[in-house]
Amino acid sequence: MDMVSLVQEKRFLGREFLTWLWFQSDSHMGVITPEGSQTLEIWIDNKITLESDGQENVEKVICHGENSEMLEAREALSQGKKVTQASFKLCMKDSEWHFTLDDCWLNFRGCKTPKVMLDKKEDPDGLFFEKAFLLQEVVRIVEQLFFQFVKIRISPEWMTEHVPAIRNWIQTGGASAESEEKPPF
Amino acid sequence: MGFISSSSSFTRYWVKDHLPADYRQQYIEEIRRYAFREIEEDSDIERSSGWVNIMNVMDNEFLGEEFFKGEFVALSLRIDTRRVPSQILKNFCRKAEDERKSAMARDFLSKAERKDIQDMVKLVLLKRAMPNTRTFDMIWDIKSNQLLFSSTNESICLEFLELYKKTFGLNLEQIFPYNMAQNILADGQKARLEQISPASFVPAGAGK
Repeated sequence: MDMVSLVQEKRFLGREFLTWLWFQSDSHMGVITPEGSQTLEIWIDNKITLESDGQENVEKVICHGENSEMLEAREALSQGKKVTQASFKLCMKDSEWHFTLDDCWLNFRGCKTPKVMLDKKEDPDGLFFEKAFLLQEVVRIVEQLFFQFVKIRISPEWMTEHVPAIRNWIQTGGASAESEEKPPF
Repeated sequence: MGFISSSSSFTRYWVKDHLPADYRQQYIEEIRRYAFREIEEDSDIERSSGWVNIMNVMDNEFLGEEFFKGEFVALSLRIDTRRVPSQILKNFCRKAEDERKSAMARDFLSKAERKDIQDMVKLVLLKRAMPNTRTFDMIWDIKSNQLLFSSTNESICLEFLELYKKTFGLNLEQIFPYNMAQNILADGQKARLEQISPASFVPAGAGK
C-alpha cells in the first residue's frame, strides 16, 4: 500500500485521538498527567472542526466559541461527524502553548510557544535554542498523550469502558462523564 | 512563518538513514552548493530557491557554518518568485500591439505576432518586478533523528524533501498517527493495531 492510501486508511486514529483528548480534558477539568511526564493542563482553545465521513458530499462544521463545552460540536459528534481539527491550549508550569492539530498527520498549525525574551540581534543562538526547546517540548508532550491514547486504543477496555464513556459524555455533557469515567492516567 | 516568529505551522519527519561519518565536512560543502542564489536584476528567471541562514534570510554564504547549532542542523529554505500580474501584462500587450499595428499600417496581427509581443513584454516587465521572498525553516535534531519543517503546504513540503535529499543524501519519512503508533508498540501490540477499525461514538438512539 502506498503512503497516501495508508494515511487515508488509518486517518481514524488521528480523529479518535483528537476526540479522546477533548473528552479527557473536558472530563478532568483539563488536568492530565501523561505517563512519564509532569502534570499539565490541556483545554480546547475555542475551535473545533468536524466533518462527515466519505469522499463525496462531505459536510463540515466549524465551531468557534468561548464556551469550552462546545455544545454544537458535541451535537455534530452525536450525528456521527468526526473531529478533523482541534485547537488546544496547553499549560505546564508557567508556560503556555497554543496550537491546532489535524487528524491526518497530527501536524501543528498556528503553534504559539511561550514568549522568548531573548533578542535576535544580541543573542541569536540563545533565541534559537530557546525556540527549538519550546517547539520540541510541545511535540514531546503531544506524542506522550498520543502514545497514552494508543495503548488504551488497542486494549480490550477501549470498547468496554472508554467508548461507552465517550458516548455518554457526548450525550450528557462533561459533568456526568467525569463521575463515570475513571482517570486513565 | 518560520520557527523564530511568534506563530508557526509545521510538519514532522523522521530521518530514515544514518549520517555519514564525515557528515560535518560533507554537509558544509553540500549546503553551500545548494545555497540560495539571488535572481539577477536583469535576468528573466522567475523563481529561485535554496538554503539560507535560519537567523538571517540574506545570508546564503554560511561563512561561519552557522547551520550547526549544538545537536541541530538548522536552515531555512528560501524561495523567491517574480510574477507579472496578468492584468498588467494584458494592458502592456495591448499597448504594444497597437503600436506595432500603427507602425505596420495594418488592422490586425497574426496569432504568432501577438505571441511574440507577449513574450517580449513579459520579459521586460519581469526584469522590473521585485521578487517575493518566502522562507521555511528546518530544525533537524541529529540525536533523535527527528526534523521539524515550518510548512504544512504539500507542494512546499515536496520541494523541501527534494532539496533535503539532494543536499544530505538521506530519506525522510513524514510522521503521521499510524507510523507514530507503530514506532512505539512492541511486536505483539503492533498486531493488535493492525486489527482495530474505526469506532463509532454515536450514542445509542441518536440519529446519524
